[in-house]
This record gives sequence, structure tokens and C-alpha cells, in this order.
Amino acid sequence: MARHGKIARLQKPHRDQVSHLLQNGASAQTVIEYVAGLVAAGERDADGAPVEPLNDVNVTLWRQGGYEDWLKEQRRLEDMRLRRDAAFEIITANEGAKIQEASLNIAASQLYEVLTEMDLAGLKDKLKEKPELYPEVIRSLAPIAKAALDVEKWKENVRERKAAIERELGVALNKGGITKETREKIERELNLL
Amino acid sequence: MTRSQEIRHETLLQLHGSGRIPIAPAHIVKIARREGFDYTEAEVRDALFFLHGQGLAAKLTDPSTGETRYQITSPGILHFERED
Repeated sequence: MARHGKIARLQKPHRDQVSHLLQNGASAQTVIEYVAGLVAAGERDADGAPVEPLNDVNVTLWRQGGYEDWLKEQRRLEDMRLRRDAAFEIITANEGAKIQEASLNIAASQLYEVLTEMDLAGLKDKLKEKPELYPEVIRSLAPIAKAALDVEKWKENVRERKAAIERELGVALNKGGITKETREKIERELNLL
Repeated sequence: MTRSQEIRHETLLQLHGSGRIPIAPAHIVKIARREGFDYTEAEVRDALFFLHGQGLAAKLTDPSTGETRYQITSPGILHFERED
């Protein structure tokens, strides 16, 4: 929902600071004084207009509207961060450190998608009642992580073999043809796939 | 905020939240739907095209499958924190 009030029109860093103040329990007066400081400093809002001083109503409306939107986004970002960290933890626990980072990120993305689609809030409640289930949850996710890693390792293997074959073909072309030795090298690479 | 701007904001938010994990357009749509948004995959792809053009998102293509995923860039992180 688009918001147009005085606080909504502030530049994002200032707007976020107002929300941080409210989150930390600051009073409306503190918020009003903070914005008064911006006014005194000649700060501009996101549209380039001078920042306007606030009153209690402005702060109340922001608390009920824009601040709630901000809180919801912060919770979503924190939720995504936790799932992202969990995906990497599970992936690297399965020897993920042995593949390139780009492949690790791709492998983690598949597990991250699974974790994102899980109802973690419901799972957390169940785990509070039965914490002994936690290892089982991790064990159930490990095969997904392993499968994703195995795919990425296979893809890396294909890429390396392909590069090796291309190198051999390049050498062969420069020498004017494929020798028996080159053919054997290529066959060895193909057999490794 | 226009609908396009809203979609870009949601897309950038999800990219920011995913960090260095690249995510697919279909995943963005699924998560947005869970939050109550009705964005189509075509709209999200348009947003990603724009963000990529602005240097705020990087495109990664898996050479084996051709699947395209997107990852936030450093300018993308700064833009989200300062402007969005």
C-alpha cells in the first residue's frame, strides 16, 4: 500500500531510523525531536522537498500503518536469513566445502527453496513440544542437500571434462589432425563422464 | 507506488533476503503469493529484467540445464537499504 504521510515521504534511511526508534520503545516525542533535527539540518525528503516537522498524530498514524509494514518486512528478511543460513549449514555439513562456491550457491538454492516453502512456524511449535524430533528433521533434509550437491558435483565434473576435451581438440587442430594419442586422451575423458 | 514499482520492491526484497543464494522467478512468485500478492511470473520476470539492467541483480545460468536464477548485487543491496 502506498503511503503519503510526512514520515512516509522521508528518505529511506531517515524513515527506517524512525521505525527503529519506535521498535526500541521510543516515545512519540523522541521521534518528533529526531525529525526536528532533520528539519534544522535542512534535510530533504525522498521527493526533494524540505522535511516537515511532525506532530503526535503523524507518529500515531505511522505507528499504525507504515511502521507495521516495516516490521513485517523486517520479520520476512530475518526469516529468509535464517532459512538461507540453514540451507548453507546443511549443505556444507555434507562436504559442500569441496565444490566451487558458485556450485555451492546453486546447490544451496534448491534446499533454500524447500526450506522457504516449509511452514517453519508450525514446525517450530512442534519441535518445542517434542525437541527430540529435531535430529530427525535435520536427517530428513540431509538427503535433499546431498542430492543437490551430487548434482552440482556431477555438473562440475562434466564442465571439467568438456574443457579438457576442448583443450585436446585445440591442440590437435593446431598440429593438423587428431593423433592416436589425442584420441585416447579424449576417450579417457569421455569414459570419466 | 505503481504496480510495477510494487513488484520491483517485492522482487528486490526477496533477492536481498536470499543473499548469495540465487533464486528463480517461479520461486519469487510463490513466496509473493504466500504474502498475499497476485503477481504473475511474467511480471516478476519483467521486474528482474529491469533490476538486471540497472545492475541491481545478477543473472546466473546453469550451463547444464539452462535454468536462469537471479542473485542480488552489491549495488542492489545498497539500493535496497538506501532507496527502497
